[in-house]
Amino acid sequence: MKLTSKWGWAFWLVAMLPLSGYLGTQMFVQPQKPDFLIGQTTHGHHQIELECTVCHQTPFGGKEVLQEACVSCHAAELKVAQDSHPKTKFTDPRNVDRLEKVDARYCVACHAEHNEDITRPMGVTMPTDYCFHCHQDIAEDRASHEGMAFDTFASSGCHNFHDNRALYEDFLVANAHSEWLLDTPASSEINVRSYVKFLGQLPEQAPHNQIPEHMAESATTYHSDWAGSAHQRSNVGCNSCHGEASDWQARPAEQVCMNCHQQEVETFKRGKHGMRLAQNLSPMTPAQSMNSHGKLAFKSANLDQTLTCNTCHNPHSVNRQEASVASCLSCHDDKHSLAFENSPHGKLWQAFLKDELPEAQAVSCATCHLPRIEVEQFNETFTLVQHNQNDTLRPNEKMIRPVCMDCHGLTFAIDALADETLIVNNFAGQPGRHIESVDLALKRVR
Amino acid sequence: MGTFESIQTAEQILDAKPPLIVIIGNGPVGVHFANQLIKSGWPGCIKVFGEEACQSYNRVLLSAFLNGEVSFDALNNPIVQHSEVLQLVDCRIEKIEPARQRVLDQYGQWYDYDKLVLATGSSPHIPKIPGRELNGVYRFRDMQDTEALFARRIKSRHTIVVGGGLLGLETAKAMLKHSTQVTLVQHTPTLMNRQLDEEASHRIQRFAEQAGISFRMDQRVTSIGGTQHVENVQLHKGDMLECDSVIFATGIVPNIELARAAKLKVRQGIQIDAHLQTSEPNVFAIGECADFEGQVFGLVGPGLEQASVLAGLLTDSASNYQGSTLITELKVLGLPVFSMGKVTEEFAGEITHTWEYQADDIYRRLFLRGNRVIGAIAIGSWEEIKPVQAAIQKEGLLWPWQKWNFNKTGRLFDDEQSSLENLPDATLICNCQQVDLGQIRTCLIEQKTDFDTLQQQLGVSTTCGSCKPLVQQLLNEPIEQQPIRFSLLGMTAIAALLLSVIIFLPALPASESVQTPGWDWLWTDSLARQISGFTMLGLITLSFLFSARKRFKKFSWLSFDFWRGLHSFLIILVLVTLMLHTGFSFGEGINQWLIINFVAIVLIGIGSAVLASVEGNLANTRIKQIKRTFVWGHIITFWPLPVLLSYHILSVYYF
Repeated sequence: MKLTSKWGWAFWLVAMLPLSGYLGTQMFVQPQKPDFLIGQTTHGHHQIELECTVCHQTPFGGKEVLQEACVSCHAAELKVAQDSHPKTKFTDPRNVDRLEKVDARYCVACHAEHNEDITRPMGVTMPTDYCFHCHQDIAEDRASHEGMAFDTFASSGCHNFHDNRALYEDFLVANAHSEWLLDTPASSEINVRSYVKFLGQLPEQAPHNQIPEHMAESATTYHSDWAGSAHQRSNVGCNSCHGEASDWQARPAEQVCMNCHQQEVETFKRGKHGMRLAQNLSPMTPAQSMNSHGKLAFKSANLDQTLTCNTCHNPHSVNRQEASVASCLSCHDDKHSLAFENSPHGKLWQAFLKDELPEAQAVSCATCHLPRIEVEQFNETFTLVQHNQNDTLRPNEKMIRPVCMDCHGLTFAIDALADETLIVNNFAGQPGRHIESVDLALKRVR
Repeated sequence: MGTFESIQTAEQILDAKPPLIVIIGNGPVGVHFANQLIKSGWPGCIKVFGEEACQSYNRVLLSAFLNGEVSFDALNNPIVQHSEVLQLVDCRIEKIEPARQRVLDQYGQWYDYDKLVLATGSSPHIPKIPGRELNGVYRFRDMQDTEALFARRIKSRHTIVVGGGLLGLETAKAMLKHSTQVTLVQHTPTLMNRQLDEEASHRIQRFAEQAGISFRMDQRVTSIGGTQHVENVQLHKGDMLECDSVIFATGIVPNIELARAAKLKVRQGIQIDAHLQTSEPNVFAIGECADFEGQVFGLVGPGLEQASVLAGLLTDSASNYQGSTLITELKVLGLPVFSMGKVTEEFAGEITHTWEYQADDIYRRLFLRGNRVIGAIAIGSWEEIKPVQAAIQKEGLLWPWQKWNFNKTGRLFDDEQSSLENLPDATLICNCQQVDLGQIRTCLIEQKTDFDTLQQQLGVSTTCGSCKPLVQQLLNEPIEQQPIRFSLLGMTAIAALLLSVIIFLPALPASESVQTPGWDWLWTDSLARQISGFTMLGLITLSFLFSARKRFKKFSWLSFDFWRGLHSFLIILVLVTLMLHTGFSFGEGINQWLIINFVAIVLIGIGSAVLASVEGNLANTRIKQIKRTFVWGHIITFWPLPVLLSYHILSVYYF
């Protein structure tokens, strides 16, 4: 065949159609677009990276649409964290010259996605001495900072870009003189029950449990699990979750739980455990959470365990103690998790399990990672569990105020969280290094 | 006074105006020289002296004549009839006086000359062996010897031929007639040891043995026994062979006595320089008597070459004599034997390796220095002899695939190199204008045409011109081989280098500090990437001008070579821009497909550019075939690029 002929070129054009069609369908029709994924996303977004429209909400949207997407998920936590570098700081005309260095009005200026090669801790895609851009003259204001390298600010437990709730000067000074371990732990009881009452759906009467005939046999086991559980105490029976016998739901979804546990399910969906559910994707499995950056170790037997409410909370016994440690350790197999049982925290938990200690003095996985928080709703304050395990995780200074300082002094908490070895061995021992931030704050105030 | 063979009268000759040239020797070389001189328009008179009492004849054919393969008439080798030529036969020149520019014949007659050419040839070398003066001892050189052997052959029962060279073999073969037993004694382990290697020698020996010749290899004759007549021959290892005839074919001795007596400088032969001039001005020597840089050529080929060169030098300022490549192409007992160039032990220092091919009745061996062919030996017919000769003559380059081909098929060049006419009509000759062999043949049948008209009619060779040598070959016109395109080759090398950097270098790391900014903004900054990206799009689009120049006959502005060069240059720029665009990272998904696709296109493009650089030089349709495959590959791999590129650009703005 001679390519010079018209037919040759026609064939050439026609031959382009299949590829064109394939890519076109993916780009414009399919919700998931694997071939247009131009690089793995950061650990935080990895699980939902194929659901392009979560971030790329409208075609040809550009920066503004992307910014909108960031804000739609992360604005609330930044507000709670009292973001030290909010957008308003950079839209201020006095700071317009700074935008030439970093256009910090947009999250992607520092957190560019799909750039696995240059992604650093906290999903930052800038060199770690980025503070230099605006704070290069810091030593003139703070003599104590003379000679400090610009990549040590964020990495040494002194400052964060966004969340400095436990790190600002007044707070450091106010909490400077505290013991490493407080005498009376400031832990409060959770009051789910009163919260649910406000949702208005807690039945008054003992439940009338109707089950379909074919379920009768297995129901006896489940019934004994249920008897004595919090659900039984609150009159939540079979039909409350499974529906009527005629319309039996064998496996109620998280929406059912949400009828009563709205806050818990919502925060769960904001964390890595539930973020896929938030996008109507299949529940995450430990296997899915691992990408080329995140090589967190998991028990191989449970790599494909799907993660919903029921995974940690046995739906019939709804045992909180089990969900606080045992459930976690059924999947997590990293050094920090494995070191828990023999750590000082773990030993307290063992003592509680043997009834040697009250629960308020024990420390479980959940104590730090799924902490009890004060929730303001219906003009009331409730103590509920934050089910977003990421909320206090990165950077770990976020854990200081809501968690660590319940039992420990500030200086100790800062030092401990800055010590990598201590984190790996699950805080078995004293911090091996001292962070000077409190000392520097005191010196300046004096 | 000799016998006048010319048609001229004595008066006319005496009146002849100088320059007067005298040629001593009317052997094949002398005659050829005279003929060439006439052909070149020598303005003066030519006198040719021959000592034998017969007309000039072709000595080379004597063995064939003795064997009965050619008739007596075929030996005739006359000088072209011309008014200014005088041939004297049975007239030996006895003396040369260079100082007075005259020569003396055996009858006492002096002849003046302006230019004297010695073509005295050589005499057989007969080793000083006791008994060589006996009856029945022969030599084989001239017509007289031939007549003697004709007579002898009938009577002889056992003839010993001493000497396993070319002449010895031919003599042995000629003597086989009439059930004569012939034994050939050779003093070295191989036959024709100046031309052949061991394997070739063995093959000839086996062949000759089948024909009836016996061999005594690696044996010297120490004496010939007999009272008046030869009775036996004593060999140095002790054997004694009963025989009635001995023929010496033990090499030649240049006839230099005449020159030596005239005080011309002689070594083995008469010394000549690149102008074929002896130590005396106006005295020249050619043929087997001449010694050029210490080498005497004992074959007719170089002698004829010298004669042609000298004729050229004396009539106009043609090129000098550079020495000859020895070519032996003959049939021994009907077995074709070929030897040329540097093939023997004496060139061991130059020969770096050899290629060999063997089949039942075929043996071919090429001798190479590096990748240049400098010699060849072949037994059995080889249809490629002419191109092989040409290759050795210019010490041509051989390519690796030729070795592969040679080892497999015994052919060095592709079928069509030696016989283009065997190819089917559909064979594309001109890739650019898509002209096939059939179209050219049709044109040739319709009218006898030349290259220029063919080019006008079919457009053949109007684009890149690399098929010109092939077309010329078809037209039997002299082939203009094109030089290797080094500029294209150079650009190809640069592209290959850049491409390997892109392929093998890992993605460049990002800057580690904002205080000392690096170059990573080039491939991370959105604007920078848009600039480099659209630059590439522009460059690639421009590079299509080459395709347009090739495909649209109306587009003939600037040479094809220019557009091809520009194409390569633009792609080099694209590769550099690609590095800046990607930071050596192949990316993922569609971006990865795109860059892999592009790299593949360039890779194949590099292949076709290399072939394009050399194809005009090689004039070989196999190369054209391979290049066509490459060009096709280049085009086919390009197929997904527009789609991928469009979606790549779209995706950048879409997401």
